[in-house]
Amino acid sequence: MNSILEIKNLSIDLVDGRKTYPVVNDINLSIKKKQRYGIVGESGSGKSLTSLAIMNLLADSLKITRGSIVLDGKHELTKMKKKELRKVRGHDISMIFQEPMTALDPLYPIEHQILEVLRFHFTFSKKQMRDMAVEMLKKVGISRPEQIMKNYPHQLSGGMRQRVMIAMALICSPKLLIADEPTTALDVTIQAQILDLMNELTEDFDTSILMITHDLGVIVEMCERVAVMYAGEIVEETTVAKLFSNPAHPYTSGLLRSVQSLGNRTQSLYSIPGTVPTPKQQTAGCRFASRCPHVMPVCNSSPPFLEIGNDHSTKCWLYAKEGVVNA
Amino acid sequence: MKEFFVKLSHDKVGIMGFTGIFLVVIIGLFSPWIAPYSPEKMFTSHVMEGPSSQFLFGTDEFGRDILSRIILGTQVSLKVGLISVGIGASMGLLFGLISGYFQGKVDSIIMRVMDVLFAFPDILLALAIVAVLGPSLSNTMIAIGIVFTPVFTRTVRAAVISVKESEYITSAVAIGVSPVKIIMKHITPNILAPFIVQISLALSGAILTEAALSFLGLGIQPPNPSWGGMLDASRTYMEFAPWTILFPAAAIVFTIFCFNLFGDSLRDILDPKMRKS
Repeated sequence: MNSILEIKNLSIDLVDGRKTYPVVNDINLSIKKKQRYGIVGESGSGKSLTSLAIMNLLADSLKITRGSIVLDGKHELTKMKKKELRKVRGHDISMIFQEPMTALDPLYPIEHQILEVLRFHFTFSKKQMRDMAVEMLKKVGISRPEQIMKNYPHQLSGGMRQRVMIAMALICSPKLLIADEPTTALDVTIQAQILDLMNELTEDFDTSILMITHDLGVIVEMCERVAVMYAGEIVEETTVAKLFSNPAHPYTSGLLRSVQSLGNRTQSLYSIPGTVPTPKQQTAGCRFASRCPHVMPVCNSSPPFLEIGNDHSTKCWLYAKEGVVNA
Repeated sequence: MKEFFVKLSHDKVGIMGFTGIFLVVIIGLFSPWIAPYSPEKMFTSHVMEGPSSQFLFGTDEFGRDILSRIILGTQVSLKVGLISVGIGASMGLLFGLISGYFQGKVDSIIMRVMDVLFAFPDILLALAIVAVLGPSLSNTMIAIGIVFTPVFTRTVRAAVISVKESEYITSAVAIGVSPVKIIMKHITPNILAPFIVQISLALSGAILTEAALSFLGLGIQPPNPSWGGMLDASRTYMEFAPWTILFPAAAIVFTIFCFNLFGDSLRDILDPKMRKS
């Protein structure tokens, strides 16, 4: 067992009164030690919910109905008691959020917030903890850590706060770091710095990353493996290189075509027609069918998840023949 | 804290309110020494006399000095105000935190009870509670405290629900902080602003309710001096001895006015929308 995180058949339902709507449907993925794994998809594809489910931070109206999430081959996170779960959070798995502006408590100085993580998981002396915090802030590229420790969040810029968040997330050397759109709220130059920093540090700390993003550029820069999510399902799963050179699912090709590039100035930017169906609109069959250029009669029934090549799977009827031959 | 006083110093209305409250508090604290006579001493040869150099605010139907009674009444009013708001605020904070943080069934139960309490007019509810417990100083404070609990519960609950959705609370949970610590260290400090404003406004309400209860004969019992009680006693003589009712009424109006001015300016200062960072 060398996978840090193993998600099997995970389904999440939205409970609205007596009705339930599936929002995440039958997801499988496995993240290996020191691997950087990306989940990419549009807004509402269920990628953030998947990350929250790992931490067991789902809102009350969302329920995990099926499946398992196993950490490090031994801890089953979906069935864990709250007390044990608290030991895992921050220590084995930690998380970076999208909005560095609001992710720090406005009433406490930075020092207090970093030490809170340490105090919770270790029993060091205050001096030791403070030294660790200073050390960590230096590692995330903050030049005057002693002074920054005394500052309040509103005195720092967005990039600085995200660095502090990264310091807090990595200070316990977690096995897995979940980054939910960590750079979306930052401007492009800072974005590149933060991604580099995450790359470097996770290398040092032997931490795996689960990167949740809508930005294919971030995936290329950061990840080794990637899953494409659409309307609560994984539609394609492979290595980053294969995804870009040989996208299999029509949705993936659509996504790749909608990325801006410097070359073709004459053409207007491609966008996939239609929108993601909401959980309440979903029908049986392939969820992308209504927007798909290759739609066929068979798409009325749910496509199987097929292995279409070495280390490359997709959920589409286009490849069904090969799938049958392989079987 | 420093920032708070700097902002207050720019708000003239707020300073007026603050100065007034300061004055009332000083009078309340040192009332036995400030009052020219004992509030219970009867000058039998000076019954119902108008304001004079000997009795600045005149005397009442027993020949007691009205000024001294008002000064001693300040102490009672402030005591009732502070303690009853203290009771109401701490119960409201407790219920509001539980209700807002855990939501679900607990929330429904607590909030329905509060709705029932809310459905009664303040004075009627206070009267009912005093009628059950019996009229006395401490029962008056308990009754007013219960009357003020629902307002605090609602204020706190609403603030908790909005703070709870903030990302820094989610990230505290993600770090592994326990619910108790999250409530104590992250939620409570972040809801203090609306809570403090509510306290300053409730203080004036509590003083007014105490005056009303005493006026109705169910609050502070005579011969102890209280503003509401003085109004009640002088009701029958107000046509030919207006000073017996005028000065206690002025004391009530002045105190309430100062608390309201201060409360309003406090709300403006603590409002995050008005804050420049």
